[in-house]
Amino acid sequence: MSKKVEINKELSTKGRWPVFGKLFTFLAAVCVAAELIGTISIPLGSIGKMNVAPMIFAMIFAVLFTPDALGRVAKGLKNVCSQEEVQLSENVVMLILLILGVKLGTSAGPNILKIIEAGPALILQEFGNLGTMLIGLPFAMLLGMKREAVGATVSICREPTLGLISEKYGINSPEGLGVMGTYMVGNLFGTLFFGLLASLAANTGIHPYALAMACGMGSGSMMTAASTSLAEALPAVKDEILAYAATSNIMTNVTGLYMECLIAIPLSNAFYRFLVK
Amino acid sequence: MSAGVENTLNQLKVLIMCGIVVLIAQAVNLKGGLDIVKSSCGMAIILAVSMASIKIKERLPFQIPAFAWASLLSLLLTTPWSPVQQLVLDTTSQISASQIGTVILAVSGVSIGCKLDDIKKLSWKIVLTALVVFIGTYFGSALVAQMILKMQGII
Repeated sequence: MSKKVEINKELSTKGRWPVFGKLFTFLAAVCVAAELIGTISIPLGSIGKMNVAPMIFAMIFAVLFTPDALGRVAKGLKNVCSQEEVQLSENVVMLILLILGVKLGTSAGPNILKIIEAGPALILQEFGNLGTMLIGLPFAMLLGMKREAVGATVSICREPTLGLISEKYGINSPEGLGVMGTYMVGNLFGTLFFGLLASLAANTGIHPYALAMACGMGSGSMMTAASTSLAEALPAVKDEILAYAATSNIMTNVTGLYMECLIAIPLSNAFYRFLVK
Repeated sequence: MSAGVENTLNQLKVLIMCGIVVLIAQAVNLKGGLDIVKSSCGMAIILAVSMASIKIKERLPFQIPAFAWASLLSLLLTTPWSPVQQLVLDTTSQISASQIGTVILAVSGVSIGCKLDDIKKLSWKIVLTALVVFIGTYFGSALVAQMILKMQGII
């Protein structure tokens, strides 16, 4: 391929070592603090318990020190974490996710025979993603949303969905705004929410393998949060959980787009017409 | 230096820095029980596979994220038929997904730092809807998987 390659300035270290230095020192400090706190288990009476893993603390601490949070109150924090560090971190997320991708693959490899055995469940649970719409669409319409509801509930709305819907309807259409909404909520709260949800789900009586497969939703960061906190809640089957989650995530990454294009969007539209009547 | 090479070097630098932070988090988590030499080798392997997955993604025309390539490559490297299975598993055994997760969530925490105003703009309706969507996806998939695994007699 002879595509012209441009330099990604955001990742360039030329003259920007202080930004890199500050960001990574800050990250190290946050992670050390979070790991020192460790996992805290909150008993919830008869429901079971909720595990708050160090990663949840890490995220909360990190957000606290950003320019939009405490940075507003304490101007001095700009020296630790300014807009530049925030921009750099947006680019770092994609790269550090790869480290996790590799680690998760190493959980799956040795278990390959088990995974092949569970193949039908792994493939068919992709259809479970349609559960999104079956519950979400009526709910959104009850709240008074109209066509926005179709976009907002067609899937968990990660980047591929954003691309798909904006191509089909335009990003400023009601459907586009709906997708954008769910996408934003996912960016802001997705990891936090799935981390807590998966840990709670460990108490539902659904088998850990099934819960693990559900963690692979096509978003690296949400899968991380969900599968690792599920694994912490159920340490006895930790390896299997990570293995199924990783494979399910690969599967969703490969099939997700076609699934949405061919099934989810048409179905969502039909369901919408049915509900409007 | 061509742009491609410079990009690659920059990606590598960032990956190395991420790797170091992960090892620090891991060392704290294991309270000094981390075998630093072995785990550094493990991290080097992980970073090499990560780099490879970025390059595959850049070179191939399919719309498959580098993240999927990364887990697929390392899955293949650690199958029982792979000659390097033991090497990869041994060196990476002390690097756990939870501690990588800690660092990832710290990075994503910083990355939403300038978007907190957007939260205020989102209406409560869309926030509630999105959360219902997340719950629906998660339990929808889990229930289908549960059903099929039961039918197969695996669980």
